[in-house]
Formats: sequence, C-alpha cells, structure tokens
Amino acid sequence: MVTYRSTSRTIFQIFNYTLMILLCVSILVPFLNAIAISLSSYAEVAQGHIGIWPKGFNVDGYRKLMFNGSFLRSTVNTIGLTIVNTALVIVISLFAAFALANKNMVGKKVVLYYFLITMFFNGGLIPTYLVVNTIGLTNTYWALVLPVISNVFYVIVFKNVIDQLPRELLEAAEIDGAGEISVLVRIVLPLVLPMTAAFTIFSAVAYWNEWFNVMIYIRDKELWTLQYHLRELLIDTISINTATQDAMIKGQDRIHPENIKMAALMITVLPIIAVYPFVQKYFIHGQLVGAVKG
Amino acid sequence: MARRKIRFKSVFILYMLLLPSMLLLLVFNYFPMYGLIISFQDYSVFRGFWHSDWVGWKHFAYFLSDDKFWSVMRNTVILNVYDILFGFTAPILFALLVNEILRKRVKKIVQTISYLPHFLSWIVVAGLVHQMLSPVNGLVNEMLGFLFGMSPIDFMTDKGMFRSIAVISEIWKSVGWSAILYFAVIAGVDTTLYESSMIDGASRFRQAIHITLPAMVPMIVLLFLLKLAAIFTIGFERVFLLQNPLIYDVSEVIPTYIYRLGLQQSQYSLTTAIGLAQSFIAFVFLVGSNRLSKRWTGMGLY
Repeated sequence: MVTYRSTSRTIFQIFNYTLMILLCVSILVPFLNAIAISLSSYAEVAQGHIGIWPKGFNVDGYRKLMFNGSFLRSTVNTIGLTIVNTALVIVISLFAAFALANKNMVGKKVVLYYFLITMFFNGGLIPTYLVVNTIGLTNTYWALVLPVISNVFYVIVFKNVIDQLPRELLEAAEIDGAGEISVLVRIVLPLVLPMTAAFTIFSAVAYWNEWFNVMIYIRDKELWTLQYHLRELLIDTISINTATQDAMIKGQDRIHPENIKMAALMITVLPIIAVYPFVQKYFIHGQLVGAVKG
Repeated sequence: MARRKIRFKSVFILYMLLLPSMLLLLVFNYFPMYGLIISFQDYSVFRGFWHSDWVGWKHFAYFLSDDKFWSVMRNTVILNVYDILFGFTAPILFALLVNEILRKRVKKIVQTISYLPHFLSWIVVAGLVHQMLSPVNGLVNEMLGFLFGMSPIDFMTDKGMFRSIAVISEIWKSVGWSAILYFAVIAGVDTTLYESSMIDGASRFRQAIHITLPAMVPMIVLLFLLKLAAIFTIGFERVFLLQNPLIYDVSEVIPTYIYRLGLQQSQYSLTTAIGLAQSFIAFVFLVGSNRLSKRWTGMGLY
C-alpha cells in the first residue's frame, strides 16, 4: 500500500505509535514488576522502590512455595482438574454433536430444543448451589467437575461442522458396515480436529483459571485449586510464612509476604504465558467462531 | 426386518452418546430452573424445593421496597454506563488505530501483547491491580511521588476511585481481545474501495472515517445492543475481586449482593427472587435488542 508523506500524517503516526507503545508497556510493566518483586530479597521488598528489575536477587519465594505441601496440592489439583474437565467437555460435546447431526437420529428437533433452551435460561447462582448441595456434591471434586463439563455452545458448533462434512463420506462408511462409533472415531474425528484443537485450548485455559466453584462449594483446603489458593494468599487469609517466621527467629534469610504473593501469582500465570505464543491462532479461531453469526 | 433392527440399534447408540450431555443439563440446568420456584416460597434447607411454604410475591415486594436493593441496582447501572462509555468504545478506537499501523510486524506484536491479559483470571488481574496501586510499594504511587511529589494514595479503599479502577481494569484486560471482532470486520472490507478512494485523493484519515468505520457499524450496533440488554447485570468476578468492605457503598452490584446475601447469609428465597427478576428483565431486553439489531443491521444473535 502506498504511504502518504504529509506532515499531518507523520504527526499522527508518531502519536499512534506512542499510544501503542504506552499500551503495550502498561500491559507488560505489571508483570515485570511482579516478577521483580518475586525475585527480590526481604530487605529490598520491605523498603519498597522495586521497579521492573529485581533487587537482591534470590529465588527463595519460589523455593518456599515448591516445598509447601498445601500449595503443591493445589497445583496438582488444578493440573488434574484441567486435564479431566477438558477431556470430558470435548468428548461429551462431540458425542452429542455427532448424534444430533446423524441422519438416523429420531426426535432430533426436540433434543435440539432441549439443548438450546439452556443457552437462554438458567436457574442462576442460588438454585444451582442448592441443587449441587442437595445431591451431596458439596466439598467433593465432583462439584468442580460435573457442573462445568457440559457446553451447549461447543455442541452446536461441532454439530454445524459435522453437518457440513460431505454426506457421501459418512454414507460410504456406513455401507461398508461401519458402526456409529467407528464412523465417529475414524471419519468424523479427524475432520473436526482443527475445531477440537481450538476448543481444547479454550477449555483448558478456562478450567485452569476456575476458582468460583471452589469458593462456593469447597471447604477443605486439600481440594483447593491454584487460582483459589492464590486468592487466599493475596488477601492474606492464609499465610505460607510459618516457616518464614521460624526462620526469622533463628535469624536466617527472611521472605517478605509480598515476595511469596508475587511468586505464587507468577506460578499461576506461567503455564498460560508459556503456551500462549504457540496457540494464539487457535484462540482467535475460537473467538471468531464464537462471534455473532452473520 | 433386518434393516429396521439395524436402524433401531443405531438410534439406541446415538441416544447413548447424547445421554451424558442430557443428564448433566437435566441436573445442573433444568433442576436449578425448577428451583426458581423458591422465589415464591420460604425455602427451608430441611424441607427442600417440594415442601417449603408458599409465600407468593412476598420476596419481590420486600426487595422492591428495600433501599439497599435500590442502591445496589444504582451501582450496577452506573458501572454499566461507564463500561459502555469507556470500555465499549475503547476496542473500537483500538481497532481503528491498530489498522493504521502499516508495518506488519509491529502490528502483530501490538496485537499479541494486547490479547494476553484476556487469558489471565480476574484473580491474577486483581492481584496485579492491588500490587500496582498499593500505597506501600505500588509502582503507580512511586511514580506519582517521583513525578509530582505526591504522598501515596490508598486507591483501593477510596470510594471515589472504585469505578475508575474497575473500568480501567476491564479495558486493560480486554481491549485487545474485544477488538478481534472488529479486526475481522476490517479484514473483510473490499480493498478496491480503498484503492478507488486513493485515486480520488482521500487521505488515510478520510479512508478510516468513510470506509473502515462505516464497515464496522453493524457490528458496533449489534454489540452495543447486547451490552445494553445486559445493563442490569454485570460480571461478578471483576467487581468481587476489586471491592472490599470499605467501599461496599459504591461497589456492591447485583451479583455480588446476591452472593453475599444468598450464600453468606443464607437468604436463599430472597436472592433467588432478585436473580429471577433480573434474568426476566435481561431476557426481555435481549429479545428487544435482537429484534432492533436485525432491523437496523440485518445481524442478530439467533
């Protein structure tokens, strides 16, 4: 494209680039600040004035968290729940979508309405809480799995994708005597793989970030997820510093609470930042599918 | 006969594939919908959905005459208005400005960085906000002190600051990501329009105003109407994680109010009634908005 070389254009470009740089800086600086604090020594954090570069570099905050049983437990819970929930939501949605797109399906319309209605109506927080409570899921892992693994939106998108596959392909397989399951696994699955990849990444991030259900359904610390653990650390309701206070008495290296908080925060976001550059296009793909239909 | 049998078998298999979804929806979507009847009961945990006493519109009458409810409602609407004025317009402006970056690499980097916060939980974002605004060692206060010699401000407990903080946090977290839809629209604009306007001597600015922006209008209208439809609701997490007891006056919104009153004080029936009324209004607004959007832009949600 031809670029213009007028003065007003140049002024605008300077203004625009400055604005964009400021925006990017405003996004990056809080992270750099958090990293710097997480890597700084007690004395320096206590003094304040830590910018985007650590002072008195050390990794004691991270070490402390890595040897903290309850923090580790939360990490393992989160990894486990992320994997299990992601696998389940994909499998369940794909199953349902395949059935709804199948020409042999009887009562398709009714079932489709049964799904669609839940996109527009729901019972809201309190009735859902009471149902989960009544059926006895409170304070179990089930409360963190079952209520979050049905996704009607995924079902509808998968169904639309399967509907658009060439009919002959599925019919040919059927004539060859392939059962429903083998059509699903051998023919449909490879063809919907890009969509599946996008949804997998979407779900994994969402489950990794989940904490609300932990707050309302879980009482035992053993069942906490990383995000919720981080929240409790951030608002100081729990302290990871009992060991730190012991160390204080013995006159060893001390760790500032801010240091622990920011280390926990970085551990929580690290996996996302690590995979983010590689999966960005899937995110965008998913967002645009999720967008308004024309 | 054999053909029928095969067909029956395959329908059976298909229903088995549907079963997990249908069961989950039954328990976690339809049961709670049925549970909405407790808005008209004095729900008792021991007597359950079926045996609690019916009280008619009592809870609706109660919250409609409750000052606290109206103050919470007011907070919700005010925050939404700010979100529309600033949070809604920011991605539009951002998309237009990014579109003016002609170097592909720079554009890509700006986009990549701006999308990132979207993938972080509100817990992390709120944690960063608290850290940046901390009166003890927050960078913002350090900077204000360094540049203007100001003494530290305790932003998070200042009632006058809450709405600005909530709106700016939202923009920080989602300006890039929300702009994706607009980027997609811009990418779809017929390039010959730009070429012919260039021959006519149109500047980049005029192109942005007369070609790019008009192309974005249907999407803007649609998203605006959707946003307007949700004016009595607001995301729970942002407000909940940025507020604290010192600023409940200005920061309590309907979802956080329902959470506190319902789950912490066990006012199940009252809060379900509030939730039901809110969903009902939201639904009416949504249907209305969708109809308007279809009429004005030809695009709709369903």
